[in-house]
Amino acid sequence: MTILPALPRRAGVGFKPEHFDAIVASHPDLGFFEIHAENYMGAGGPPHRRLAAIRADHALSIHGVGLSIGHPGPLDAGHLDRLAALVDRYEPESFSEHLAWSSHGGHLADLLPLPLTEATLAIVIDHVDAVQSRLKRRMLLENPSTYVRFSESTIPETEFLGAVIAATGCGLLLDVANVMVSAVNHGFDPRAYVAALPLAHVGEIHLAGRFETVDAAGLPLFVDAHDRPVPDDVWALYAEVIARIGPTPTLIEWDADLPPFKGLLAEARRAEAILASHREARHVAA
Amino acid sequence: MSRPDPAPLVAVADFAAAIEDRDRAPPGSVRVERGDVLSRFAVYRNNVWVARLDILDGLFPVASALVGADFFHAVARRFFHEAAPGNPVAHEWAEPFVDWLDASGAVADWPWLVDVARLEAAWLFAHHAAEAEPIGPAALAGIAPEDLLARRLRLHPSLGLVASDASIGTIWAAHQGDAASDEIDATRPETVLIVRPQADVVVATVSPVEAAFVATLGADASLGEAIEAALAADPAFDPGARLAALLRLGAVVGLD
Repeated sequence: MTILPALPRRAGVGFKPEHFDAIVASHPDLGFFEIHAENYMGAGGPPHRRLAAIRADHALSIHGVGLSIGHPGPLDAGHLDRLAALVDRYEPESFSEHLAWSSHGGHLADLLPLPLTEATLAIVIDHVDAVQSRLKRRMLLENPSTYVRFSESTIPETEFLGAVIAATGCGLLLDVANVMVSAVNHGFDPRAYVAALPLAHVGEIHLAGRFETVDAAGLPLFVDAHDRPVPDDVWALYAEVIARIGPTPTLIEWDADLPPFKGLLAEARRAEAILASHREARHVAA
Repeated sequence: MSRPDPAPLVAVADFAAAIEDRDRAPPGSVRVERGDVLSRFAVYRNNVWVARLDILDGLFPVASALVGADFFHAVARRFFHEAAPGNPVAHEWAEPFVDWLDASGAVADWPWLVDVARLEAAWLFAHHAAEAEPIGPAALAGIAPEDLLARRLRLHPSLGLVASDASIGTIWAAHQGDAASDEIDATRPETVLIVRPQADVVVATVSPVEAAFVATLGADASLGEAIEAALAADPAFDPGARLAALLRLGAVVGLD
């Protein structure tokens, strides 16, 4: 497998067409931009014109949201081919996907959970192997945010991710916001969850805002909505993770109710400050 | 205890079925550590349906505005129940949606709605189509007329034509920009040509004979053959003016 240039160990943001003019006008000093692969699968047109302009000046992460790696059926070979073409076209520093499924016959346009069993582990390992072979590169697999579990699950999620990483050589996209959402929804300790992950393999971190509500039983229910600033408990856990593993490429995910570009930049600056403090601390320690 | 091999597929199929059908209970194997399982499963169901309807709203802003969000969403739900696309590339749902809209009879009382939606699908196709550099009149200047008639024009890969018994070009144009006009004559038949020579999609109303001329060119006829067919259909067809107009639109990218 080819070792490709990695994302800079800095903060990046999701690229949204609505922000294109502001980005071109301001030449922001950001570590990288991230895009959703499926938004760039047309042959040409404004999406590619904008992306090519962004790509010319910035590191790029391509984040797939439709490969359905966690579905037990075969991977969509046609979709994987299109992904390979996109990766060849833009040569991103990183490609990542989810431990989730999103199509079953019809496309469901969401990241859905799977039972965590020996059988699904074997399937996900096969799928990650297939993706890495086809893309000729290492991918990152993202820990999910979930709202329910399956009674047939036998493997803790952290162990499942660790087993996929050990078997395939893929990396971990550690979504700290997902950890907090799942921790509240299922009532587990987010710090214990993070500690149980194979942290040496984290290639990127995601941070995002969430919608906080309660369920019909009056208990807290957090929804991974990507529609507002990163909450304080996610920042706190993020700082602890960076203190432990060192500066790591960090994405601010904001996909709905978009702020002006400067709002996104302010969130990235906050991540950058945490990264910088640990960069200096490590430098002094060295 | 892990179950034998069919289990994962059953789990996913049951989960998907309960998302598709609002009246279906979550699968028995779905559980929560705390709280109410229905509320929590409903997050997935809500995410899926909000995302799907948002996608169709985004693809068909004019069709949706013409019938109102409630009606459009009801039709969209039927589409997903009967013919949900498996393709994760959302902008490519436009054509399957229009084909279903036409075939299903879901809006049989309003045939013009299918045509407006078809225009919007053609717009999306053009928006995402491959790049190609249009040629100008200068590219034809040095060619003797009889040689030119034997050549084939290569049309822009973004090019599309939509014909309707309704004034789809006028209706569509009235919904662009801020000021939507509420007094338009929607009853005249219109044919539109859609092309994206550079960054922006152009929507132009053309005559039926001009549309037929372009369609013939697109079907690999020589320029001479296409002109002959157009003149047979309409003796008033002006080949020079129509060719110049096509070049001006940026609809021609080469000469074979």
